[in-house]
Amino acid sequence: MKFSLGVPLMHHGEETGFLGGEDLAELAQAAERAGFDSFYVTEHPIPGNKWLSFGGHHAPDPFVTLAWVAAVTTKLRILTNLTVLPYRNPFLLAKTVATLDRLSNGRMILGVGTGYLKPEYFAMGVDFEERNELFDESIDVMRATWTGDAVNYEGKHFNAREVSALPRPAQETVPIWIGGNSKLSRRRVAQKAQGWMPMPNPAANAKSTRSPVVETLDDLAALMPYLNEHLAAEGRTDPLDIMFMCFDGGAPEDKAFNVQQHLDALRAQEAIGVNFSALNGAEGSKEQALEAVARYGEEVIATFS
Amino acid sequence: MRYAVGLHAHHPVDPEFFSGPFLAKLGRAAEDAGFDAVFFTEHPMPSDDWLQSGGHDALDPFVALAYIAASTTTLRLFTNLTVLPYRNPFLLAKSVATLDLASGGRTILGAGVGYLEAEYAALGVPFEERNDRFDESLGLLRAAWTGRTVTAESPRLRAVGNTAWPAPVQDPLPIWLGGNAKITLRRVAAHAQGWMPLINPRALGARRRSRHLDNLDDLRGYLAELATECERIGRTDPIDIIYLTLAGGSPLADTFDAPAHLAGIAENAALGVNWNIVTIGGGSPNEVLEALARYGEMVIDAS
Repeated sequence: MKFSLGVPLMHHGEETGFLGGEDLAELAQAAERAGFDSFYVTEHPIPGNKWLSFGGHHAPDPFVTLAWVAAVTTKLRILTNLTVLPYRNPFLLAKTVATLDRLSNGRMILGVGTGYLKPEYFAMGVDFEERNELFDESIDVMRATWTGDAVNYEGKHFNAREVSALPRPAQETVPIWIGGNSKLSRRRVAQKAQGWMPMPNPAANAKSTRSPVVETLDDLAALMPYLNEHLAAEGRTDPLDIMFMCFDGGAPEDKAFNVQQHLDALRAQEAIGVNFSALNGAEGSKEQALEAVARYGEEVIATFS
Repeated sequence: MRYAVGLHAHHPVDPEFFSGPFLAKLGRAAEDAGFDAVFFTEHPMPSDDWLQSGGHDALDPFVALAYIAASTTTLRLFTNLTVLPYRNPFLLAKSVATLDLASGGRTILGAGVGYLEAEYAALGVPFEERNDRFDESLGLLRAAWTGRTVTAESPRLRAVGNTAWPAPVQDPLPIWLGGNAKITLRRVAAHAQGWMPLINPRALGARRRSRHLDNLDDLRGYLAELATECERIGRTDPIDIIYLTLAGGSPLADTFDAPAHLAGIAENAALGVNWNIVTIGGGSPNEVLEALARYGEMVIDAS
């Protein structure tokens, strides 16, 4: 199992921890020291107030934040978890990702999803009903752009003639990880991606996130056969990364964190094919967040290495 | 006089220029030499035709500036320039705010309308809408940067009560506008903290879709227009004027004539220019770093 640390979620009006570069550098360096494989940031450029008032959260620009993280670390991989692919023109996003991959010397993982927040889609000026078409076309456009060769592309939403983007990324294949539990997401993973990020999705949220319920490990295991069928149908034999979250035993910032229960759950996840575990940084004070990272490294990550 | 430095990349560029370790060194060398700002341009998806005829490779400016910001402490981070209509304004507002918060208030957003139709086409932005979109973006950037509720409605987007939080450190966040058009000068007076006149030789004709500027009389004339416009709308706070001089030759060359260069800077300053930009390119990565240090000694320290 490998581990990925997320920058703590930001809530309106609360202390803006880890937005300042020095604090952010401390957190990223602490993650690297603790043995985390990667560091992730989510994305919410301008969420709707209704969602914000019902438990939603703010987020920094993931690419700017990850550039900062890359500059102050050496091994930590950098991951968007996740960026809403239809929010950006794919040629522009390809340039952003290629730049990050270059500057980090090949540490970039692009985690993408279709998103679900209509008011944010409106503000982006992107048609929510077209999100799936845009998503599929964007992956094809980015792959073509990352070759560095002249691109001639004629799609339904994107067109380009004799344009090219240099420098190309450092990695031969920039890993794309796709988030979401739906059959469509799993088919896309099999067809186009290097990783899958299923999400814990309680029944109470399933309507707003428009995605199948995942509350238990059995729920997650039940999604695997369909993915595996499609991987086989695509003739895929390369390894696929699967990242999930583990809430068993509580959170490392809590005194009551039950390490053994947490480790058992991680082993059980491993047994069904999960090989990455994502942990959101602790909300609250900077000291608490840094302590939780160190503790998680000693008590959890160390037992997997 | 304040100084901003940018790297002039070529096509195809030596990959070392676009590596993390080099950018960190570049930032530190610029800071050590006494530069106030470092800048990057933007060309996400240029046409091959443009690349073959003097165009250049480019990084994403926000990612590159964030990387440099993490490696420096006082250097300002300046897009020179970002093509405003290429991005949704709320997305851009978030990128700029994030950079400003992380860097402790060191961001300067240099923005222009751009002129490469093929790049506009690839990015899916109708070229003929570029001015409408530019004006819309100026307004919505400021609205998003309040950190408070935004409502907006246009043919392109709709904010029904959205919030981008937190606000950037700087208020106002400096926006510098590039270009020589009359409409640009009006926008500077109404919305911006700085103006970046663009050298545009008469010989290039209309390729950049902007008025020519290749001597100090041109600049003097445009500055007078800007002053008149400020007076017309009652603006009295200062506007940064960002310009360059070609006098003395390339700072990379052995033949660089620092006194002539300083004289050129002084002539600009006499007209009201208060930021001098210099673009360094054409040598190896080490030569570029050496040229930065030399420029610091021979120009910045001597001025």
